[in-house]
Amino acid sequence: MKELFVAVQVEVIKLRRTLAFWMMFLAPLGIVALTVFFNIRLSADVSGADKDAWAVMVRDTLGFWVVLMLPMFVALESSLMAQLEHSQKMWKHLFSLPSQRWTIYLAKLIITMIIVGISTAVLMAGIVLSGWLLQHFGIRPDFNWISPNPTWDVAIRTALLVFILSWCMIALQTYVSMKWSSFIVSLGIGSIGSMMSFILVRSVTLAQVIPWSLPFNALEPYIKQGSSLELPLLVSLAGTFIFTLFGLWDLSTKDII
Amino acid sequence: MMLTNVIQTSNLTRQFRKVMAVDHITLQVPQGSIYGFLGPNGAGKTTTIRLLLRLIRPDEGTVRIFGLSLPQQQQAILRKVGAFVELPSLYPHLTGYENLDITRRLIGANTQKIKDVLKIVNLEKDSKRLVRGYSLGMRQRLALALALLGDPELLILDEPTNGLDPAGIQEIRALIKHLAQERGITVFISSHLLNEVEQVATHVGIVSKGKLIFQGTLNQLQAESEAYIQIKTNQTEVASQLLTSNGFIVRQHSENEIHLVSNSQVNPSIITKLLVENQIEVSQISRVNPSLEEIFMRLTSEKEN
Ligand SMILES: Nc1ncnc2c1ncn2[C@@H]1O[C@H](COP(=O)(O)OP(=O)(O)O)[C@@H](O)[C@H]1O
Ligand SMILES: [Mg+2]
Repeated sequence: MKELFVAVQVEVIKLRRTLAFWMMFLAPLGIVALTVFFNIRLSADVSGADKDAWAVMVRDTLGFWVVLMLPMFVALESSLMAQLEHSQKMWKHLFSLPSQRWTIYLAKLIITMIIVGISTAVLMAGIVLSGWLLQHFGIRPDFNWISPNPTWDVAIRTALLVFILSWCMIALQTYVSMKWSSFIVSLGIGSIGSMMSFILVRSVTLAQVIPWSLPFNALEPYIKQGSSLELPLLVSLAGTFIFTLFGLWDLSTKDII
Repeated sequence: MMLTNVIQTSNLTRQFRKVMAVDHITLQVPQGSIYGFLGPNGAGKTTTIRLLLRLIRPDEGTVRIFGLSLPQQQQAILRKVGAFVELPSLYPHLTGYENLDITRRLIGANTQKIKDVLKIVNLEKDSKRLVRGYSLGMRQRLALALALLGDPELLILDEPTNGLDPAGIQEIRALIKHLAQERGITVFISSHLLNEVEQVATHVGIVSKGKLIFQGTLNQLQAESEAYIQIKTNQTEVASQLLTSNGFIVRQHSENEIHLVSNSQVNPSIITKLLVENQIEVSQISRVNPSLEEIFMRLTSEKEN
C-alpha cells in the first residue's frame, strides 16, 4: 500500500512541465467557454418564465463535456501518461528497481483518474463562476436565473456520477496505451470510441453499455430521457475491474525489450 | 579469502524467433571483480543483462545472484543491484535532480543520497538543468548516478561508454575503478571494445553469437594463446611443405606469411638456415606474442566458421 502511494506521488512529479498537466485545466475551461458563448448567442432555452438558466448551463456544459470532450480527453491523457515511459524506454529502468510491476500500472491508472476528477471539478467550478459572472454583469438580463446559485446537490451528484462513469473508459484507454507503445493505437481507439459515443448517445440502451458513452447517463436529471443508473454503474465498475486485470496481467508478464 | 560468485548462471538461454540471442551461457562473476563482458555487436550482451535483471524470461537455464534465485527472490536481489541497460533511460522534461528524486522515492532512499551520487558522477552543477539539454556524456553519468542511488553491491552496466568522447570514456573508466576498489562493489560491465575491457577488468567473459567462448582472468586469456613464429616469404607453398616434412607444425599460411607453432625446440635461426639451404628466400622471421586484440579477433572469428 505504501509502495502504491509512493508510486502515485512519483507520477505527480513526472507531470511537471507536461501537456498532460495543462490539459487538465485547459480542456474543461474550453468547454465552459464554449457553453457560455453558445448560450449567449442562442438563448432559446435560457430565457422565459418557465426556464431555469442554471439547469440549462449545467446541462449544456456537462453535455458538451461528456459527448465532445471527455472520450478524446481520456484517450489523450492516458496516452500521455504511458508515453512518459514508452518514449524514453523507461520501463527497463523502472523494472530493474526493486518495485513491483503492478504498482506502476495502478499508479498510472489512479493518476489518470485523478486528472479526470480534477478536470470535472474544474468544469463545475467554471460553470458556477460563469453563471455568477453572467448574473453580476447582467450581460443577458433576459436569462431566467431562478436563484442566485445552482441546485447544488443535483449538480454535484451529477458531476460525481460523470466521474465514476468515466472510470471504465479510463481503465480501457490506460490498458491500451500501456500495452502498445505507439500513440496511434490508443488515440485511434479513442477516436473510434468518441465517434461511437457521439452517434450512440441517442440510443438509450446502447449508451448504457458503451464505455465511452457511459458518463452521458449521469445527465438524466437534466435531460430526462428515461435511462436508469444501475446498469451504467454496473458496466462502469465491472469494466474498470476487467480492463485493469488485463492491463496488470499484460504488464507483469511482458518482455521488456 | 575465498572468492564466491556474485553472479552465477547456468545454461542461460533465450531465443528470439530464429536467433539464439543467448545460448547456454554459464557465467561466473567473482565477488569484488570488475567483470568485462566482451563481444561484438549483436553477440547477446544486452539480452544476457536483461535476463540477469529479469526484464525478460529465459527459455532455459537459471540465474543466481548473491546466492539468491530468480525469479523467486527478484525483489531481494534487485535491492542490492544498480543497473542500466543500453541507452540511459531518463525523463528529458525533468531536471537531473528530479530524475534522481523519482528513483530515490521508488527505492526508499533518503535525499542525502541524491547529493552523494551527484558528487560521485560530478553533476552537482548541472543538477537543476533539464535533462533535455544534457550531452550524451552527462546522460551516461546521470544514468550511473541512478544506478548508485540504492548503495548497490553489484553494478550491471551495459556499454556505459558507448558514444562518449575519449575524455568521457576516461572519466567513466576511472569512476568504475574507484567504485570497485574503494567501495568493494562488484562490477559487471559489457563492451564491444577489447581495449576498454583490458583497461578496467580483472575478469573477462567473451561472448560471440550467443555463446560464451572464454571466461577467466585477463592473464588466462593471454595464456590461452601461445606465441608463434611468423615467417615472411613469397614461396609459402614450398616452404610450408618443407617445414612440415622436417617436423614443424604449420598453423596457417597465406600468400606471403607462415605461422608456425612455437615451442622451446623451435629456434628461428635453425629455421632460417633450413629455408635458405633450400633456396627459399626469407624476408623476415620472428617470434610473436599475440596481442589480446588478435586473440579476441581469433576467438570471435573461429566461432563464426
Ligand atoms: N527483441 C528482439 N527481437 C528479435 N531479436 C532480437 C531482439 N533483441 C535482440 N535480438 C537479437 O539477439 C541478438 C543479440 O542481441 P543483443 O543482446 O542486443 O546483442 P549485443 O547487446 O551484444 O549487441 C541479435 O542478433 C539481435 O538481433
Ligand atoms: Mg547491446
